[in-house]
Amino acid sequence: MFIGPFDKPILRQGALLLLCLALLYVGLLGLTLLIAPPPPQERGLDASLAGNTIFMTEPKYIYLNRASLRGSSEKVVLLGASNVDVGFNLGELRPLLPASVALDKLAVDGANITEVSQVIDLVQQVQGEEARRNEIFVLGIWYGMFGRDHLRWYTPDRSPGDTDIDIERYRYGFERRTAQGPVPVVQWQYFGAAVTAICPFLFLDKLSRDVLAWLSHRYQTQTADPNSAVMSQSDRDGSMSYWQSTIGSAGPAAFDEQFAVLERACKRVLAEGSKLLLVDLPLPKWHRERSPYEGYYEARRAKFVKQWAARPGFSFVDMSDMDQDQDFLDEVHPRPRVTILWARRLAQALSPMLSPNAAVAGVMSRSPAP
Amino acid sequence: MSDQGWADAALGMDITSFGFIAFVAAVVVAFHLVPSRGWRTAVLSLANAAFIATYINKPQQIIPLLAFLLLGYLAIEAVRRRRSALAAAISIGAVLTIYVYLKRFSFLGNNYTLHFGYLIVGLSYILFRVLHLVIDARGGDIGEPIKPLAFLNYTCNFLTFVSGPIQQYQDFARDYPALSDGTKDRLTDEFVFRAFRRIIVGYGKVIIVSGIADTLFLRVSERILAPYPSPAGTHLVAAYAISAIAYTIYLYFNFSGYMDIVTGVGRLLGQDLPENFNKPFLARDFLEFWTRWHMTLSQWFKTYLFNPLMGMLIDRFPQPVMVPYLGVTAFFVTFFVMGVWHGTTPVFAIYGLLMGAGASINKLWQLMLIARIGRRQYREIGERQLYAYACRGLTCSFFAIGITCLWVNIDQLRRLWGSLGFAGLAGTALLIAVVCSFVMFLQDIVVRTARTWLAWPAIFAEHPVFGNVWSAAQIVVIVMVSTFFHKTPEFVYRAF
Repeated sequence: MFIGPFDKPILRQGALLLLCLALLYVGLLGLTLLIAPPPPQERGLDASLAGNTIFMTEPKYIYLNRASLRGSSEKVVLLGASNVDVGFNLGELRPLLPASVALDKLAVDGANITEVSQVIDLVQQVQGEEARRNEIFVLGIWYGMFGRDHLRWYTPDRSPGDTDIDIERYRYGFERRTAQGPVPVVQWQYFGAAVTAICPFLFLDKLSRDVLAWLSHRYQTQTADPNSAVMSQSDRDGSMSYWQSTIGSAGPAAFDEQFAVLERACKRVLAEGSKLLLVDLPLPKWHRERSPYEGYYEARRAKFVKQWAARPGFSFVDMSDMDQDQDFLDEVHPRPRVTILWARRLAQALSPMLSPNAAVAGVMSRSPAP
Repeated sequence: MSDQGWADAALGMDITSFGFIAFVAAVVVAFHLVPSRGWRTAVLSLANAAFIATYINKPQQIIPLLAFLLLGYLAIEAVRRRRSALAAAISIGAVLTIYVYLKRFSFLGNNYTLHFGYLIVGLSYILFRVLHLVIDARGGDIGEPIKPLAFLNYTCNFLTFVSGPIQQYQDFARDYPALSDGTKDRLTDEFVFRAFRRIIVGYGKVIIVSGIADTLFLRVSERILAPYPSPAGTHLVAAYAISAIAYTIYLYFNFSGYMDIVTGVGRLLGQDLPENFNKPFLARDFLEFWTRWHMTLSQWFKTYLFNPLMGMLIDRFPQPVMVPYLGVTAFFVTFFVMGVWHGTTPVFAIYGLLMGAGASINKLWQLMLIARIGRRQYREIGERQLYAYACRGLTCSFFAIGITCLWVNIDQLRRLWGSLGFAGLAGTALLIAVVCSFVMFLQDIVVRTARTWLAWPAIFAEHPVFGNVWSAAQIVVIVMVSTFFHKTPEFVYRAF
């Protein structure tokens, strides 16, 4: 290559800058690993604990931390939105399942079915055939998760249509955006090393979020006890307005788009040899009665379940009867004191889906008392 | 934002992407590979073509732009040869007509437009360059015929294609023959270091400052623009003031950061691009503001609209007493046209009216005050600190309120200003003026103090090694902060 003598300053300055950049970053990485070493790979993931980890948010936790899902032992993966997060306490659910069964909770706050379907893809991407065959996805649904993509993901703060999972795909350049969808830039065999390499980014993000949380905590009033807090009438009105803005107009076709996404996700799960337990999650009675969507949703959901009920690997449990107003702290989330009942109902539904070899925990034989 | 015409076309190369940085690195290396004019012209031509190609999905999307360029070239050549007023008038008329047609101005409706998506990014700035060449050719300032490749490289320079700066052809032509050896004497280590520094500062402005301002703007403006119940009363005034200030900060740092990046890259490619900003928020009045903000655009309008218009008006009304008032009229027309140029929808007509009103009222105020208290006392008042900060605050406030038209559509503007009423709008303007004045006052104190206390780090930053460490640290911070956002801030002026 011919380089004229006058060109050297550009090369020299460029090389010097790159060298400084490399040395600085290596120093920063070393310091970060010293201050905040990456967490050991746990057997079970719980996205609800993301805030305590360097990953901070559920989508980031799931996207960057899913390596442990590669194992081929029997696995139950809980999916859904925040009511799965709050409603299924792993500490309560784990003793109800055989000890050999791994339990992961990958629920994402505010997820719709499109995003849940992406989580399923992320899980399956890291797994081999055997791991997929030994997997049961538990998908908790309610009408709020069927908000159409154009209302949910076309907000001004994001690239049009990007879900929270998509944002994490592109945030650190691990995947790139194409007309056909995201394409990996970092191949899976280098994924762990890449996550380690971005530790300074994660650490700074956590540090800034912690500082902001500390500051906002200083100026906020004490949060109410979730077992006794009562939702005021204006709070109820506000929550209804919120769901109307999230889901749009009510009508028979309101949920078609997201049920189609659900159908595709179910097909993919069963085609890979995994099993799927669809859970219709309860809402407080006042909410069901006031919501203009509930009737359309129930009709659409019943039709869906009827279509899929006979498919091998598919199962359905209806928890909508657990709808006592006093059991909910707001319009969707159960109080901590009732989550044990949710866990029992789920464990009972999971029992016939687990492999016969799995040792059955004694508690499971007990009848779940609502 | 205004433009829909490129909705079907590709998004193009984003200057904050690694793709753009890699592209620029490749162009700079290729440019300096062989010190011959032919090679370097070829490299720049290919770079321009490759850059523009990222904005299209199908070859047909480039055809309208090429046709516009061909029309422009033929018009310039025709006027250069004949140098007749009629040829110039016909050329300008034809170029403007095709421009309005291709830009799909909303008053045309949908019946008279091309029914496929095509590229209109860069069209506005090509228009400025073509009109400047036609007018200069008429005046005899373009003596030699312009070679087609030089014309293409001038109008489609990838550094200035999207949003300027609007370089004069004479300045471009001065650098153009120097491609073979013009960079030889300048490319010292210090020159390159400063060019890198300028690029890094530009990225810092675009990604960090404009990114934060954009996030704040989106969060607050979403509430006041929503069709369902939005805040009212003082909450609405406060939310509107925050949105307007945040958008102004976003616009300034986004645009001036972009200019820093292209100016720095231009220096590595032997191009001296003109400056586009000169601390606009130091301006004490609206007219001064426009001599500091988007300077190449203001200069263009001054040369090719204001001056000829003033000449025409003075010819028509030659009485000396009329001259200042003719200036008021010419300012109104110039700023109105400049405002309307920013977009194709009705809201930009309001923007034009506001800009025109701002400029002409500013001029009238100057005339009235000078007539009343005399030129000397007028100057003395201007030196008083309190008056100066008040003027700077008011200038900022008027501009921030005026550019609301860049972030709303006509319905949203009607609803927003309707909800505020006259009192609310005046209250918002006053609130912005007070906040801006106070912040500028504080900023001046901080800058003065920083100059004293931070003198030694500044010397440190100029050191050949530590300076690079400092630059590397800035890059790390910029990249880290960029990951905080859900998306990188768009280059805002691409839409105009």
